Amino acid sequence: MKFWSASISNEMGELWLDSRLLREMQGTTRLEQKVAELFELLRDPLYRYLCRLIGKRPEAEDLTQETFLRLFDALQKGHAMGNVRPWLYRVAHNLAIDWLRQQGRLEQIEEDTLPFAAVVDAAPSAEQRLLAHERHHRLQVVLSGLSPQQRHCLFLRAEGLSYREVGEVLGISISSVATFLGRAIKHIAEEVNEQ
Amino acid sequence: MSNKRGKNWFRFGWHPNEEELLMCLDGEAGERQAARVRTHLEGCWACRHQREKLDRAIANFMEYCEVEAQSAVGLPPHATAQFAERLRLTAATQPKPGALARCTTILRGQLTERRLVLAAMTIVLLASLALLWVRMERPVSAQELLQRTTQAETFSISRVGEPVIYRKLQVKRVGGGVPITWESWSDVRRQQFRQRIADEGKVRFLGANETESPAVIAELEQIFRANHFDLQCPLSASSFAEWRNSISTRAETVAETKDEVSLTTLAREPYASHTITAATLIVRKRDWHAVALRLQVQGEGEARTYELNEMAYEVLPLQALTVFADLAPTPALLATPSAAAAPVATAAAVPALLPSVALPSALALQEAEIAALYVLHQQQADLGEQLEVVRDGNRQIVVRGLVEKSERKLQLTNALRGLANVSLQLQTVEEAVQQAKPSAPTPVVIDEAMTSTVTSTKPAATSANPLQQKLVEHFGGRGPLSEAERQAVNRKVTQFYHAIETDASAALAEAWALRRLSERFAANGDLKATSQQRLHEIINNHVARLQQRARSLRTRLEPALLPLTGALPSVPPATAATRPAQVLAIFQAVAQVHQLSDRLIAGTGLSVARELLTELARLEQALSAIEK
Repeated sequence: MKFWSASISNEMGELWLDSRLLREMQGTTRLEQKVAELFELLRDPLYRYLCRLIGKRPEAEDLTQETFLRLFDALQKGHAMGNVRPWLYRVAHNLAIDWLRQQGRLEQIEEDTLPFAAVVDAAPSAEQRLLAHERHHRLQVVLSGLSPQQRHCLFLRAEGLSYREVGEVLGISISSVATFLGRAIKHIAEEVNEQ
Repeated sequence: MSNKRGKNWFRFGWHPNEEELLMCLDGEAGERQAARVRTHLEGCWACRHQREKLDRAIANFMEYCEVEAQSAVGLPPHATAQFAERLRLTAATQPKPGALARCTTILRGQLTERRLVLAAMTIVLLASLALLWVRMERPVSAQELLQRTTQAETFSISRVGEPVIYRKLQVKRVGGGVPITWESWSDVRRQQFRQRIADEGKVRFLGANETESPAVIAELEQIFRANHFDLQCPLSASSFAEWRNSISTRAETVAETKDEVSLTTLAREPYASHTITAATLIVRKRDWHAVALRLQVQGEGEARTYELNEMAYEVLPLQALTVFADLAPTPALLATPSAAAAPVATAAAVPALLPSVALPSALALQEAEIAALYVLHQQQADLGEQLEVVRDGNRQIVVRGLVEKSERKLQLTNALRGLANVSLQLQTVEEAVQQAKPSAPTPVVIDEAMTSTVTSTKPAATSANPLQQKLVEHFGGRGPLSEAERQAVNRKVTQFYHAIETDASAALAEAWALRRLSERFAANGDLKATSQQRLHEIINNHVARLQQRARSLRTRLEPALLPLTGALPSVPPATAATRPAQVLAIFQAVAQVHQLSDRLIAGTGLSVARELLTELARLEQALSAIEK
């Protein structure tokens, strides 16, 4: 039985490492194996999040691995850890911010449009393709107009994180998360739905 | 929460805003809030429309995310292997977490924040209580009181060289006449003891040849003797502790005042006649010095109370006192308090409080000693084995010391068993080593100088000393010797040295045993015939063995040494008249022979040979004298 299957304690997808599992992990020499299993479970969502933050896939790939190495280091040093998922997202978020700061792109990214170019899937008809493309473009514009915190909240929520987890990643309260999300969704609704 | 959305003029009352609707849709609203919004949505088309708009916005956003995800679905497949390698390298280069880190993790895992706070508060509370407990003045226990007082006594004595404890007590029996003043001087090192009494305006020393003890003192001495109190230091914690340890305690209380602490100990019933039923020791807190003692004693059909109050106390150097000047030095009789006070206890005016302690008489002890010596003599244990026969006060004779092996211990134990008034304290070397193990062992350091000295005193057949050449000529002739002959001669020389050393050492052991006997039993007129006979037999045996050793030495030495020394001067006959003087002369002659033998073997010169033969003749004269 994989250890995290027992540690997923709710339907929200939270990945809890309770004290028993943590002891079990630290008491065994297979900590590397456990972290490798966690990597397989959460690497893609984290990678996507990092891609959205920094817009560079090779760097996002490296930072994803670095995030899990940090997890291994923390577990081996005996750090207390409850829900692993927000912890991983927070580390990944901070690593991304550091990287952007090193690159001198932090302000640009936060002010600029989203880094990914829209790639619209092939639609059945030309009219549908055109509408989808327009909607995607409009959303991209709308998202670019949101504040960085609103964007971060949206993307983290889209990854399935609860308000509390989003708050843990960003270091803000749950009510702040609700406010940011509410304003962001309202803005999207006003700017995209009306079209 | 807002009450209106502005431009919808026809909407009255409360309506959830987008944030509240979104929280409700996301399941993040509280139960009450969610129920309220649900209820409201059932009756509010406008808000249901708003909810759908939010849903559509979310759907659009998620559609956008899915499209984005298609361009970045996930990490490439090679990332798994790449990460595994990085992880392996990281694990290999990082040290394993210590036990402390693991414990901390476990604690963190088991303790929530609230529990941590509670645990911290508990620790702080316990620490505060512990601090208060430490600072709080606790009542002293009986054991602690006695221990501190004993330590204070020891300390006060240790500060003075050759200490003499001077103590002045006021002694009284409650309801039994006027108090008297009792002064005592106790010489700790030499175990001399003097006491002086002041009563009815008279001051006098007490002792065997002096006036009688006052009744109260005589009573107390008998009580002390019967109850394991130290007669010379009754007002001391160690004496009190000795009594306390000897009884079955019924109850004990420690009372404390501003300046004093008192310990009252009640003995458990039944009370034998004249035993102490209760005792109170009062100690001054300032310096933990015992200042008073109260005793309740079961007399013949009555209970008596005695009080001893200290009036003066001092530890003085012996040199500063003249109080012992007129005392005959009889340390053996003063070895124990009971011995010192025994003559005092014969006061005829005092009604006997208790039957006299069944101690053996001095004569019985002397005879027991001779019996023990006789057995040791028969077992040849009086010739240099590490054994001694000593007196344990006036109570018994103790044979104590070390023997090589357990077989020897068993042999001596069997031989000495059954002797009246004789006890054994024998140990094998192994037992002594085991006993000494807890203490730090003293390393045996053998330095080169010591080794070389020992080596140099060993006779070496090939060493070149003046006597060596003569002995080689004596044993091998003057002609040239072959290698085999030379080696044979060397062996003979070595055997010669060895025999001389053996005889001289054995003679010295016999002489020591003879001297000890002579000094110990200089006057034996009161002994039983059996004991006198044993003593005589032991002495005769020693003399006979000495004569045998002397003859053996002469037989060996004269053929080899006389050709070198020539004729010897005649030795005058022994002049010592008394037995002790004769024994002393024998001992001195044997000691001289032993010393000269060593010098001869060490090759210090041919003149030693002449001295040795002369001294040997003197020894034989002394032995002849004592035999006559």
